[in-house]
Amino acid sequence: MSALHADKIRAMLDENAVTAVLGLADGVEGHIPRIFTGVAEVDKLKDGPKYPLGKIAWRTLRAMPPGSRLAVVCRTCDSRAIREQEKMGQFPQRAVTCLVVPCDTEQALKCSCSWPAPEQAQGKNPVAGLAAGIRVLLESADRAWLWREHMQRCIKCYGCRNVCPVCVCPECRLEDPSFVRPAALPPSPLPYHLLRALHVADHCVGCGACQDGCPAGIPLLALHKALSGHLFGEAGYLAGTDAPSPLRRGPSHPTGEDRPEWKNCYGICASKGENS
Amino acid sequence: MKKAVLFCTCCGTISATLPPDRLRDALGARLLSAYGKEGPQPACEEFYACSMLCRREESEAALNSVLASGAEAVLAAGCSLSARGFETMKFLGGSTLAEWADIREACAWIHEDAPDGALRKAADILCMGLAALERRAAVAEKPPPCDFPTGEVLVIGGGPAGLACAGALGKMGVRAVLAERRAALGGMLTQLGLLFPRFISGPELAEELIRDVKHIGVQVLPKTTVSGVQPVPGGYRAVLNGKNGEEERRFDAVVLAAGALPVLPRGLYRYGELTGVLSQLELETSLGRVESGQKEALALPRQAVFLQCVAARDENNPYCSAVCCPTSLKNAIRLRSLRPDGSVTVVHRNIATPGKHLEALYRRATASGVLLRSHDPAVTPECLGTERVEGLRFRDALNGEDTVLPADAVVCSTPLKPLPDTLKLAGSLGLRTDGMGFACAREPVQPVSPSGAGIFICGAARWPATVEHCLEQGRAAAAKAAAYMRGIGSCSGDSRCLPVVPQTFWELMPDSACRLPSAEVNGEKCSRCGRCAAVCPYGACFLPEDAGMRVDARKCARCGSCAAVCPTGAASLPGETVAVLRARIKEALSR
Amino acid sequence: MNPSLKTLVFACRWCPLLGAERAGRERLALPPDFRLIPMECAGAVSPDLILRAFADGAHGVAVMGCHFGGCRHNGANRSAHTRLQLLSAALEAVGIRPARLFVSWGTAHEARQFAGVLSDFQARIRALRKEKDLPLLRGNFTPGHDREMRP
Repeated sequence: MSALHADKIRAMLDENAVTAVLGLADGVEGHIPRIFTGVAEVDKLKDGPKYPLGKIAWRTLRAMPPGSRLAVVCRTCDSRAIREQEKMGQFPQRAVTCLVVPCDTEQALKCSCSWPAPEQAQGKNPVAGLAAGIRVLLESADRAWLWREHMQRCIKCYGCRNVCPVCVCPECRLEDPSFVRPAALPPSPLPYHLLRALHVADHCVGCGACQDGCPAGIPLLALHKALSGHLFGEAGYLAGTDAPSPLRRGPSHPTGEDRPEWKNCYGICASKGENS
Repeated sequence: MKKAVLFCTCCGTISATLPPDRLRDALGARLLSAYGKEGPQPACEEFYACSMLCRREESEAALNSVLASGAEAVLAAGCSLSARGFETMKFLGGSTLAEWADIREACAWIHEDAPDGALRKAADILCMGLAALERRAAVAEKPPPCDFPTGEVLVIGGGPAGLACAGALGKMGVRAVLAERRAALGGMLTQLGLLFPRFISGPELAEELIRDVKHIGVQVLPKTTVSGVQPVPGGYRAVLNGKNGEEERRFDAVVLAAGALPVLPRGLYRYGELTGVLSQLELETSLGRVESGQKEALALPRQAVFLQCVAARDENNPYCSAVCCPTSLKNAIRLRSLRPDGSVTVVHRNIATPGKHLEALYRRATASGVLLRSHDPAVTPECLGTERVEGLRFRDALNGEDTVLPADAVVCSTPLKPLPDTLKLAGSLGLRTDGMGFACAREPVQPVSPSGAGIFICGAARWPATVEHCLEQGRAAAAKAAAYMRGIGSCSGDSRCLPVVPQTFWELMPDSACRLPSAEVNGEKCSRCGRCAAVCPYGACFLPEDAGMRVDARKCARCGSCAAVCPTGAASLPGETVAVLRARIKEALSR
Repeated sequence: MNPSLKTLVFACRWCPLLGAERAGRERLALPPDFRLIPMECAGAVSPDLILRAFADGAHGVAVMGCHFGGCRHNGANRSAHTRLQLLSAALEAVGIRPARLFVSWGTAHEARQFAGVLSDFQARIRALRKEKDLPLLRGNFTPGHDREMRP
């Protein structure tokens, strides 16, 4: 646990700038998430292998009384996911402060991460980091067959959705019987996996928690990254920043469109408030 | 729930491809297979065929028959909505839960050469409608309460239009705030003498209007400018600079009545160079002083020549400003009566006095001896004289000769042009302006409402208008604003009527029985993610601080974008929810 | 008997639906395999429902809306376009043939245009009837695969 972060956390707790701190600490069989409120306990915080904390931060903050502030010691992906949660109105602004621990190259390769440290350049297409074995899933001519093979192992455990830090709906469409038939295994892939991918597309930070948590080993990250890659290619958009999502841009002109060729009809011109 | 199908053969044109008995059998088999031989009875027992469902007698008879048999919902199948479907639906939907299915333009008439396919398709279409009915019945039938915040209307401008509007709003019980940039109310009225047709003075009329406004309890803010108004979800936010300094306030609706600016004939016709070349407003002031006894009548010009269309209908202001001819004629009449020994000639390109009252004014002017000469605009008239004006030279349009009229005053009638501040306000509200710079309303359907909901525009800010017209428009805008504030004409009805209704009917006939409820957001399912507010094309979805997303029923046009993006189905269109669509899709594809 | 290749067509009721009704009035012949659902606006078409339509048995889904600049609902068709592009990318990523989702913003309310656009779409779908993406589309899995999952 870097000393820099430890000092900062102690200071925040001292000044009452935060109510509690969420981070990893020693557990019986490795590192587990812990919540601390006392300055003395800061020593217990440890760096550990990748452990997705975004969803836990969300749940924690919702369980705390209103007005609480949380500090989270986490990786870059978690911090970006928490920023997306904030954009989705899940908690008041600045209720969560993230102290980011950047990932090393080995971890970054494992996750196909394009942004393992906060200060890294943002211009990388999310699909750029995918390993060759995964790329085939998005490029092969037979990929429909490949995906079918993967998706037929799905046992509808909802693990992907449960651990995803940007899945925050109180009622989930994946549990709506008119969309996903109850007790049917495996679920039909389009209204399940693709539906979830579309719902989180502009919020997905590529943390890979869904894939890490899938008991059937379905390569979900490839699908999500394909969608983030599309948004990046179309609009230069990456989740986790302050940029607004291209899916949330309303119509360009709030009171109607003005086409250039209509400019001379009836003296109507496209100027808004300027004397022509 | 027992449902019935009313099948129209359309005088044989539908039944040629879709024989009713074959369709009934196909439907029966379909429903039986859905419910099983041992299961509950098929949920469609009545299949009533008639030849012209659009005829009121036939639809009445059919409806009575199926309702008498105990049906609780009716699926009517016939022509397309834009043919006779909408009208028939209005009738049927008034008595019971009803749905329309187009099996004519959408099936029988385009699949004449594939009757088997057409029959299967028609059976699918009917099943889609029946499934939708079942789903729609499952939700509460009572109309949801009209959910819109009730705040205040901001009237920008305290001239005749703004005063009339604020007074009318107050009388209708709507809370109004009137912001006027000057210290005194009245706008142009303070500078005008006698007004046509009542022939009371501008200040007198202003006093009447102000008295009304103050008596009715409108909050009047003099010396207050509005430096910015913009639409925000849920209403409008205005920045007012008044006696309390800068203040930001929220309003539900905004009326733009900020007026226009008279153009001075600077640089034209030797105005400012020759004594005696006046603007119409200057003459107005002189006449007013004489009429109130402050000045001698003999100080008025004896041989006055009024020149029309000065700085108007040219490259700079390429329009007819509508108020100058009436003003000239009115002032000509006044001058004639104050100086009967003199003469008044109006030199014009055309005289624009449309309408009953202005026609009467024209006749009165000519009857009181005002002379009218039309000039050829190809030759610009010229003021003659060295220090004082001595005459006006122009080319007479009737005989083509250059004429010189002796004059001791040449009065230039100039147009009104848009105020730069008005243009800025219009811009921040997102209003379109026409080529001349005036903000546009949605003529002719909505003459005082531009495209954004809750914005109204009246008076000279909209287009140059006489005082009478300003008062009329102000009251029109007040009526529209009051209706808007109460949600009249907006989505506030119940969902028993057809979900997809031609919008033009609804706009043109706001008291039509088929008014549909606005989109709504179910608070329990809403996660406040804000997707709906981001995509709403009307800014109807907004997020109050302490609750889930809400929809302003006055702005909602039921486009359905919110429902399309909501991940949980919290945002929905009552009557055509995702569940109803899902049922339609399932019926369409499952066999 | 030819098995039908059902497609679902979402048509916005301003431009495309008027085109459809006019096609009916002109008695233009169209293949009977499509099922039309009128919508208030093409922006009201939820991508979730399109996915569900594919799973239910649609061989193709078409979304027809008004041209850009002509949306009665203040350009909601542009937002819809962004959403549907994303849906198209998702389908393409897993190998669904792109022609199965057809989005048209060019329809005006003309009979022949509607008929032509729709017939072409049906023809393209017919050409895909033996493609290998169908099992994934429907969620048809190898029979007996779940035996390996049972304890």
